[in-house]
Amino acid sequence: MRPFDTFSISGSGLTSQRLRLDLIANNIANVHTTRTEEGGPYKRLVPVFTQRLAVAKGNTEGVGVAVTAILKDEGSPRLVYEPGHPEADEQGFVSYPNINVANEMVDMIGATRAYEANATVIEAAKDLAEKALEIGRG
Amino acid sequence: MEVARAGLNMLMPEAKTGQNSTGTFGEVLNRMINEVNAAQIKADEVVKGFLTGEVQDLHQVIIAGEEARLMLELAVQVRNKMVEAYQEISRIQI
Repeated sequence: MRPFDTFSISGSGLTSQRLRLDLIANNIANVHTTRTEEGGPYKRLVPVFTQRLAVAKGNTEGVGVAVTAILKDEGSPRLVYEPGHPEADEQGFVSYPNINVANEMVDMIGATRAYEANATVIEAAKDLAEKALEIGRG
Repeated sequence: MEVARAGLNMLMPEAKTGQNSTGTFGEVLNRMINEVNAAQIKADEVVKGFLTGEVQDLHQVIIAGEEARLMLELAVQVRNKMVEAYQEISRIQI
């Protein structure tokens, strides 16, 4: 419905940012993961944001954002010298995921701020609707 | 442009479908009330979905609730105007 388009657009932003935060949470939780289903250390996950268009309207009107893919960071793993570790190779190096916790934290702050921005837009849209209804009062 | 369309949509569903001359005011009102009701039901369903784990985003619950609240408020405003107009007419001395 038209008057509430802003809500659904910003809602898609909220959904996407929450998914991004989930991926960051996964990355931080798996910072020391040396085993995965496909073998080798865990690989950092990165979301791909894609613009969403209203199909019925000749693909010109944007109706928000969607995460269309989750990519794996194929960078080489971080090698740490730990000869006593059961996962160490012949040289004594353990392959840890290519995750920098500081970078993830910065990303997390970015996701939080983006979520807040979308929530603020919804707040503004709500204020507009309330202001419009106030015209009829009194 | 968007604003004009949005306003027409909400207040006069007839204007969009081009049946303005055939639909009575009562029908228009009925349609609008049905829309408000649909919004309330949707909000209800989203809350239910959230509690049963189908809807995973908290903000969807809040947004559906806000939409329902705003639509109800609009309906109440329209009703107020109607009652006001009726009272104005009924006060006419003959």
